[in-house]
Amino acid sequence: MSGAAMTAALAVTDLTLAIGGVSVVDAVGFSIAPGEVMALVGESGCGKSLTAQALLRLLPRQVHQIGGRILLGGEDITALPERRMRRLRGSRLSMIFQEPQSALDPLATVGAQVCEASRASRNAVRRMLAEVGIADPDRRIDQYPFELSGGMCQRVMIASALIGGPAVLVADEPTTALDVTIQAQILDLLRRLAAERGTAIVLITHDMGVVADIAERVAVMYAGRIAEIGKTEAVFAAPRHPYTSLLLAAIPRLSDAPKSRLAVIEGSVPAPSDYGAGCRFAGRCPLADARCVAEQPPLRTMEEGHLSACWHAERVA
Amino acid sequence: MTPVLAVEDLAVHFPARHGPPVRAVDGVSFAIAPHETLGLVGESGCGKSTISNAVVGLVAPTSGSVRVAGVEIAGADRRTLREMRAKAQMVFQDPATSLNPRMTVGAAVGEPLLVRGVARGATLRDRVASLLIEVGLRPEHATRYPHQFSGGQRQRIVIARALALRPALLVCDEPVSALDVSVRAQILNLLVELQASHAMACLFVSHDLAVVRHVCDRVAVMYLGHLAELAPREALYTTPRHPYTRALLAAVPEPDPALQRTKLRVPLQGEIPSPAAPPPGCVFHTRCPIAIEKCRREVPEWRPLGETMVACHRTEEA
Repeated sequence: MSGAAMTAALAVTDLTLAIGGVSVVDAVGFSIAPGEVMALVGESGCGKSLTAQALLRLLPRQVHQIGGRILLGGEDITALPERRMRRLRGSRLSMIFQEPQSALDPLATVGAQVCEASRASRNAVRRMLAEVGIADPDRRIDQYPFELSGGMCQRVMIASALIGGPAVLVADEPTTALDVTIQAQILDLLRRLAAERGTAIVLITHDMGVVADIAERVAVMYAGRIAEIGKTEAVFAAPRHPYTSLLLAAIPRLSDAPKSRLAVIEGSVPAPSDYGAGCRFAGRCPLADARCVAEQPPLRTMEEGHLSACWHAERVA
Repeated sequence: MTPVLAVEDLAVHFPARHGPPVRAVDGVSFAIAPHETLGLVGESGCGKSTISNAVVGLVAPTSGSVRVAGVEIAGADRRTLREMRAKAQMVFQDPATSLNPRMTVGAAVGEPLLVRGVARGATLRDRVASLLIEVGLRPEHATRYPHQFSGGQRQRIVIARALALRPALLVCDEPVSALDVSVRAQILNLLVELQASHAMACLFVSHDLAVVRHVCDRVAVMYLGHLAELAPREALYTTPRHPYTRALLAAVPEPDPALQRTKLRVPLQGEIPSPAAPPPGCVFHTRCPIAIEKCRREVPEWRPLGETMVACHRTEEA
């Protein structure tokens, strides 16, 4: 889908974010085609959520973008004045969040939240609610968030993010706070919306199961950098970065031998102030040598569309 | 052999300020043999944490019986409860909030030994040191405070404290849910090792079916305060007998795109009803794909089917 002829729905190059001079997201780049679902996966502190927030320029006050460009449908929005950026949010670029109950305004009805971004008619709101799978939209439209379950609130948030007809939807851990049976419903909904409306979805998650279920491509992040990016099948079947490989082996699977030892990644993620000059995974990597500690590995193409930032990518099992 | 834990017809209801009580747990029976790990899975609000709290005496049963190593704790006096708590220890979900931030690690791990008069002075220090080594920490960590440790290390500290009195039963309530994948694997490996080396029984409460399969010998599935199914691990995962178990297994996304994309989907419609107003008949009938009129009227019996216990009118049909 990432053909050169087609304009990407969203293209990010060299995105770099810093807190007080320390870079926490470093030269992150990717692009997404219309209708594509791409996952940004990693453990806490890897910078995936900050990356998501930077796309909509919703970064916390202490985080600054110090480099990189963001192109929305080919248009550079990096330097757009805030006034115009605000008009973009909710119309061409939308976001949904992890905790639906706290992301909705408790004092506004469902109808008011959904049409806030776009001044849609009541009829349009009702249709949108039905489209995201809310049964009985005529009654729900006048209810408040506290009257709805978590899954229902997430549907309302998705409706309010989609009613403006965005080209790109950024979904930050949209199912993490939900139970598995409800999660399955919401993932089905997102998949259908991408296919039917051609919405490009950037899905932020820590759950490799969710990635396997819904994402066509995946970018694995570690300590503020992309470790590996490629088609989901390819990355899972033959990971090219030791971090991805270990991460996949550390997940208990329904197909494992019970009580067998899970692979572990020794140590823990370094703090941003301890990032060295080389590969940030070097301290925990079984393949690391002197070069890894000294020199930062660039992302390089292993196969068509499959890139890895590892000096030893060829040796990753 | 006396089971380490025997729960019979347990009910826990919480009075509500308005309206009927919340029926968190109803008619639940199961037992755990020595050295055995029983998994308890279900979605939020199904009552699994209420059961684990009832088992260690943190909530009082409304009716029914809970026996830990043969001693009844339903309606027991404080002395009996105190005795029992030495035998049943608990590990909670969030290690950040289960440690006192103003107590050193050594003081926290040593406290159970101190208050029970098991050890003090140099003996206590030695015991604490060996407990820390056992969970993969170092003796010199004893003088540090919880905030100086990562989430995974804090969970190790909590586990060391739970092991201090050599309990017969370890109750783990979502012990790895707050941890990242790489750290989660470390803690799961540790729990599996310790359970074997200490020959403990374990009640392992989790919403994660893959984690439960990894560590448990038998698994109980809960829905809205009731047990839906209880079976040996392999039976539960290969031939689930209850439609809810099937739906739950189908809903877990497997970290394998090839497998996940060919998986049969059994989408459950609707939401979990409120435990304050559980549906009549089978509590699952409002979301069940194979429910019939009988399910709406009659509570299904908790009955054996091969090596499985199941509560469903329709299990033979499906």
